[in-house]
Amino acid sequence: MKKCIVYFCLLFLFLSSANQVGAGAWTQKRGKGFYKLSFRLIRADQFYEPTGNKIDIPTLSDYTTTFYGEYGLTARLTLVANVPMFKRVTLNKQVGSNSGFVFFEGDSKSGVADSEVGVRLGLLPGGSSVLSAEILFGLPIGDDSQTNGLLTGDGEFNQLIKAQFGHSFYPKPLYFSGEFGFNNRTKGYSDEWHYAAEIGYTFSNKFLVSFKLRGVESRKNGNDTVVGGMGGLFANNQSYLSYGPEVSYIINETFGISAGIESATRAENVLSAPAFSFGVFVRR
Amino acid sequence: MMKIGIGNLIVLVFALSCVGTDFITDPPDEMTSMEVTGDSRTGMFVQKPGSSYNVRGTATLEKQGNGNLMLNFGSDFSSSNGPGLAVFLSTTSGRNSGSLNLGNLQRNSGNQDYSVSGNVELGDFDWVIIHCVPFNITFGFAELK
Repeated sequence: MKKCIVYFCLLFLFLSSANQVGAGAWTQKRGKGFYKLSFRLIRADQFYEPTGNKIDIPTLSDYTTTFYGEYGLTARLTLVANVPMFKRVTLNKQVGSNSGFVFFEGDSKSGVADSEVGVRLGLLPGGSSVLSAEILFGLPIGDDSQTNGLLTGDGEFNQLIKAQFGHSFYPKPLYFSGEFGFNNRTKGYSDEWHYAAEIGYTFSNKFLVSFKLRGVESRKNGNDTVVGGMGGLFANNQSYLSYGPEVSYIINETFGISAGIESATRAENVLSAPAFSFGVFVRR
Repeated sequence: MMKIGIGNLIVLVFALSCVGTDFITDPPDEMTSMEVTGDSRTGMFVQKPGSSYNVRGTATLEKQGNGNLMLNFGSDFSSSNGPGLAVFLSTTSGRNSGSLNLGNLQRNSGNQDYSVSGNVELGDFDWVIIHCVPFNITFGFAELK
């Protein structure tokens, strides 16, 4: 029975951590960690304009390989890192179908992207409900100067502060978590409100199915001349509500794999296309 | 072993992510040269209908003493910002294969000049457009009168 409870707790930790920047209020035990290597693909030929209109654009693809890690510094304090260690953005060549005239030669950009590091503090750890506070610092290590807007960074040092809540419905294999945060951006970028909610259910102690909502609302208080790329992750004045499922398969108490899909709606300044993600995660 | 795995992953991503080609419908190209009296033509920038992007101000295409043309944006000029913005002379209100690229937009507001090279007459183009080249979006245009 004790083993069963421990395993179930591990499942919650897996699931709550699996969605990287999604909702996850649980802290790691001291000296223990959760690590995930994931690959995310977006290929879009439509774009939500600043007014929310959807327009056609040349095909823009974004391939990102990310390392995400959580490590328990103490029972209450967890180190969090989100490092897109390799991002490749491509924009297709554009050729007139009848004239053969080349309107744009195509372009691409590859490299490390802006990363986030910070800590999560368990305010109300343990029990069926947990409450945490998290601060993440955005490290501008990507490129924010690419001429054609294929950026891997925004060149600004932002601070994202979040309050996180999680609840386990044990003995039912069900959990819910949510978070609300404020992203203070610099260098003319607008500040943002962030929010997320996630519900997950475990089938047969092996398959974890979660559904998440994630939203960003720009305060539109920045400098209008700051663009920050177009369509990518680093555009200014982005707002959206994204949603989608993720399925994780727990191989054993240490390893697991996951796959997810996420779409955006009610969006401004973002690509209009589903994002597909695949990941491998380890807990030790 | 982890190193090899990550290396292979990066190679795989590169292999999957080559820059492709989009074939787009050619915009109309109405090459009609009109007789123009006088040494200059002027137009006011307007927002493209339905567009989120805005361009305002005055554009003046003027014949210089040496016979070459110069395009001037007045001090009232302003444009939304975007990647890869360029200035074109065009026969229509959009970029087509016959549009003449005068170079990148120098700045998003204020007075600026663009020299027109080549054998271009004052009546060859009726439109000045501000166009985002990489994403093929026209931000605004001015019809020269």
